[in-house]
Amino acid sequence: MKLENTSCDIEDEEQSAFRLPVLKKLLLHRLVADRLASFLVSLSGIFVVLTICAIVFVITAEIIPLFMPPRVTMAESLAVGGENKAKPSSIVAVGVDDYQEVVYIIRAEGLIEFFSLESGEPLESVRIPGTDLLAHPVHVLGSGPEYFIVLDDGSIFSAVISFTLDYSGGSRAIVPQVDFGQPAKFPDAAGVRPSIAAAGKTENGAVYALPVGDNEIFLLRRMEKKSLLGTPKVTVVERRIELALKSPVTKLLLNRTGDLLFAGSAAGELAVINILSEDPQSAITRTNIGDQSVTLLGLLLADQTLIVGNAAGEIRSFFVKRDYTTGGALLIAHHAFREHRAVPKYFARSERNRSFITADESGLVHLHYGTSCETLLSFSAPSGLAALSLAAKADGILALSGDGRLVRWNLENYHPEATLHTLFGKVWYEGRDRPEYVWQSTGATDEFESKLSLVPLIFGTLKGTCYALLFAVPVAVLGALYVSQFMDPALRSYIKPAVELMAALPSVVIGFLAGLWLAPRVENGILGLFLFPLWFCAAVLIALLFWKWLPRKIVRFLPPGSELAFLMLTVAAGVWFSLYSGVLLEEAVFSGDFLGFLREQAGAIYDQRNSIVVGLAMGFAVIPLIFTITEDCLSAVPRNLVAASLALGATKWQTAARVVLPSASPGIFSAVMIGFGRAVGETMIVLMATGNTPILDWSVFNGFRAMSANIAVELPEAPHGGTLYRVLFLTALLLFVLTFVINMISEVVRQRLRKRYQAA
Amino acid sequence: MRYFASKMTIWRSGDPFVWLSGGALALILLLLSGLFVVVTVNGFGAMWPKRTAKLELRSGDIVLGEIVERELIPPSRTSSVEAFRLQVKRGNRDLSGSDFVWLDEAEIERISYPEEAVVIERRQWGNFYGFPARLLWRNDVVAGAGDGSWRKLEKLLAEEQNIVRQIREIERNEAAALGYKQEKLRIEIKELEKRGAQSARLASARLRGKALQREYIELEQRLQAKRQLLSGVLEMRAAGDQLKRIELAEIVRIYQPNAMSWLERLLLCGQRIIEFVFDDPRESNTEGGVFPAIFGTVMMVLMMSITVTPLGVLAAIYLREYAKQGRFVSLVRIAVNNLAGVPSIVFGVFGLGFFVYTLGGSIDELFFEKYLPNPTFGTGGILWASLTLALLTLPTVIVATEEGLAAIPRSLREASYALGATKLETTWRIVIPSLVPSILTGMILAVARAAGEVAPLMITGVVKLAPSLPIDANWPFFHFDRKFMHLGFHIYDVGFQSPNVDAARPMVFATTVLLLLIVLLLNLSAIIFRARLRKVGLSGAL
Repeated sequence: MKLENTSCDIEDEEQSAFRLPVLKKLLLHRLVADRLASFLVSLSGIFVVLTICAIVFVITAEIIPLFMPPRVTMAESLAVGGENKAKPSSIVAVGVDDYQEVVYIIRAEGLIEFFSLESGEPLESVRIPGTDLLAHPVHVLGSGPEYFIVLDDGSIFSAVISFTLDYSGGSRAIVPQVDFGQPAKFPDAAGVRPSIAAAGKTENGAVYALPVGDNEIFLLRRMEKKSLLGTPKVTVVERRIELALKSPVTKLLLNRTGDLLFAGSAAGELAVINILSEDPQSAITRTNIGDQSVTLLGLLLADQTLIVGNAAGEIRSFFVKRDYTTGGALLIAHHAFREHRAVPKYFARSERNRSFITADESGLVHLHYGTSCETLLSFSAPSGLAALSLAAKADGILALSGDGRLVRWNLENYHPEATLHTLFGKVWYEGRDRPEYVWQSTGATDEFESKLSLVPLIFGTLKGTCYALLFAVPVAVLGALYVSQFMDPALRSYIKPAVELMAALPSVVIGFLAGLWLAPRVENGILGLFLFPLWFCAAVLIALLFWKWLPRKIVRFLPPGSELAFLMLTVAAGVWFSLYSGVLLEEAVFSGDFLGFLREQAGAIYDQRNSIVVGLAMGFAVIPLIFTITEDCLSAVPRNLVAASLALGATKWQTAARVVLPSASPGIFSAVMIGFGRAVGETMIVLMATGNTPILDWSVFNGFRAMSANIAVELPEAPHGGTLYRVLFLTALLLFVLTFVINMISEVVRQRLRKRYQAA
Repeated sequence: MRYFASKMTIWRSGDPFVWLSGGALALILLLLSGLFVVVTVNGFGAMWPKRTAKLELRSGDIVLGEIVERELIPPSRTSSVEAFRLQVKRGNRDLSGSDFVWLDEAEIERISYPEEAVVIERRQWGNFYGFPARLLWRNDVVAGAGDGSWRKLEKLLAEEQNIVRQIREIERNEAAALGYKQEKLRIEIKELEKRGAQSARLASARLRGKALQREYIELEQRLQAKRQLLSGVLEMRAAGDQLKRIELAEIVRIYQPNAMSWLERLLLCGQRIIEFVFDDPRESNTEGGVFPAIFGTVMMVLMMSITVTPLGVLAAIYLREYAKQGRFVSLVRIAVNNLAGVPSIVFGVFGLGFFVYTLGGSIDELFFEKYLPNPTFGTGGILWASLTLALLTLPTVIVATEEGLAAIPRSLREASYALGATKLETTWRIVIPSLVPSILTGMILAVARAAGEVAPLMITGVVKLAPSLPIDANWPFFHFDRKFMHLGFHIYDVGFQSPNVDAARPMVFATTVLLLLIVLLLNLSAIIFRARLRKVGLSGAL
């Protein structure tokens, strides 16, 4: 706009430009306009440079949080002693709501008290039923928000703490609520130890396990059957199980489905029992983990990893592998985490991922991540610990310190599942037999663990690129050689634009044809395809012989380029012959079913959309690029070189192969590199022409999942700021860096070549 | 011996290798032409009305439909005898459950092409193949099977289709506008309530809401009255002798393919092409037209060119005319060249991270807070998609413009300077006028690239079915935040994500032809442009 205005001004004043003062004014005017314009132009130039930088910057900015170490900062500290200030040890459990605004404590006297974290004001106090007359303490099992309360008279019931949001007062208020379940009652027995009992929910009720004496477990299973009339029918099954461990049981744990009972003993033994099976006694698995007493048992999200801590301060993880023949489960040693200096007693798990915290009495807290086998951070509570819990979103830790204060820490641990090791190394995931490279980002349930190994994706990209180049490079380079060295120049000016047009074909069109049209045809004619190179050479030779056999007189009258037309005909015939011979070969050797033979004899599975199809399609997309650049480089070889070679008596082919090709080889190399770069980033073709299965297999008969296609498929569904989102950005950065470096190399090579030719 | 010797000379002359390289070129050209043949044949085949075959099976069943394909039965199942099977599109999805059926040739007794067989293209349930039985209007029989009924049917059908068109017009324009106004008002009322504004404004807003509601009811009544007029029913007899009542309002087109002459077929083909280009899609995009996709593609490309052309041209002028030629500029030039080689999906990722979430998120917080948590600009849309593609095509424009700048001889500029012109004047009066063709070339190439690009759009705002176009009659007319449809994505989506791929295939091929036509015409014009430019540029330099 500015430019236009100034130019108009000048035009108006041109006629009067002879008067001097006006001229001066005009000069100033023009000078200012000129400066302004150069400023604007420079600005836009710099804008472009900035944009290129911005691409790297924005993508990197989204990736950095992946590798930020987790942080913990103390947020609040609150004295909750009240009238019982002198007895902090009477608090047996602590917890916090989802928003981390309301905390609660459960006292051994049978009180559940709620406090506002901000003001420290007590909000509400709930008495546990059946406790008011008892002087004995209550025992609390499980972790928030669902606890089980055991009273000394043997009655046991659940206590669920929930919070509802109330907007009625104009602003948001959090209203705590406690729901107590129907009690069950253990029969009186000598030597019961309710403090280490375990409880769990089953589909239709609850299971409780109470140790009696050293090694015996009393099981109580309460089942509710909903009847039509509304009053549920309750059945209670009692059972005693002998654990047969060498030392007394020190810890018991039930999983969330209430079927597996884990027990640890004073001599470091571990036992797993399926308590719902017909004969639990026969399905006990026992292992030994040293001779120290087991002081901590915990299960990670999805209950497939058992965390064990012992008196020596060791923290170890075991995979729980179901044994479907016995109904029990096996424990497979996985990893030993960072040790505690004192006896680890407290455990809390995240309900989001596989992270968990362990703490000992001295106040040392470790944050670990189960899958990556890493201890992410450690910190110490200043005056010891007496209880511990993790907020629902795993973004806060609440603890009761040794001096009776509630302390809350903010926890920033956003992407523990993505580390350099899990992204690029072999990882042993729950439920698998060995460490593997796996990409499986989303699952059906909340408990699903994302498996984010980039190795299968990088492999897929390279696999697709390799097969594409295998097809494209020879065809494109030979074709370019023919066009630049042997072809009639008049015809060349038509062939080059035609191939350029081929470069403009949208990749979605090529991908669609490859996936829906080509793939079924390749499946039927796979043998013919393998035979094609042979038939191709044969067709070319036959064409040559025929051409030589033709009398010179006729050849002279044919228009230039008729050789090429003739070649196209013979090559088309070659295609037909190879398909036909493929069918014949299939009939003769493989009894008409090559794919069946492949499946049975070689164990190779044939996917319809496989690497052959991608190789052909992506090769087709890359050919024009390689062709054009190669042709440019070959044509740029100085003519005097060629003339010198021909003058020395070399044939046309000898000149082309020994003079032109070698001197243009850097250019051909750069053409191949650029083709490589294009194939690496190609998205739609690999998306449509493969099955997109992330596997590590070089077989041409199955597909792969490339980085680019993976981004296109998963990024629209990935929540903003989540781990998957950031990992996909990381793959984008990898693609960017890879192609940028490749292009840079080929660019430098080409520039050097150009200089050399100029010198020549 | 002499023959052998001559063979040896052929070998030594290297001719076999020359011909081998020629064979490689022939293969490239064959592949290219093969692609065009496949796409064109299938694409136009989708529009061409095929004959309807009546297949009488040995079991006594009769199948009526189009024979789509004939293929060899995989030999493992039968013995080594060569046997073929036919894929027949029998339509009548509401009766038989699926559109297509495979029939072994051995089971077929006889194939005939009865003249009276009728194909009905319906708005729902796909095609119907059968024989007309009766025509009813308000439950009265107007005509039975026979020649006279056909003319009456045509007349009645034309009337009803006219009404249907009116109803659709009302729904698309007035009802949509009303809905839009109501939604705006709802947000306004919510906002007022939240702010606790004066009750007068709230009351007036509510009053307006009531008025809109009344208008809506009125419109509904008008539509209802129109719908009452639609009461023609055609009773059809399917191949299996079942009777099927088809409301005339449900019929898009009805014809007797076996009784048609070539000219009539050509006419029908033309009608279908017009429908394909100008109509909305039906049946989850597998039938009807692709107008919204064409519209989305064109609008996105236009917005992209408006952004990319000035930026690219200015940048190129900076690099050639203004910047000091040195290490920095050559570095920038290499970076720009490399930018052209960066995968398009990476641009998409950048677009999502920067435009959609960062820029769009901030715009939402600043200007569209009342709509939150529903994002307005904080989600993919046509604006962000076209900006992303503008970035993607920036190198194309810069390179083309630079090429043009290099072709303008120095002497021209020097002459201008000698006459006392400033740099701006030289650039504006001398350089840019001779640069216009290069800029146009760059723009055309950019547009061609953008029209065919799909991957970055998938994450920045393209959808399979957009409820409304990005331009409509509602204030402010341009809705840059809206999601849009795109021809390339349409191909991917209908071809690979559609539940009924067999039925969708003709549509995909037709869309492919359209996209190819657009892209190739653009490229061809750019190539021709450039070729002429080079000639002109050369003569100018002399």
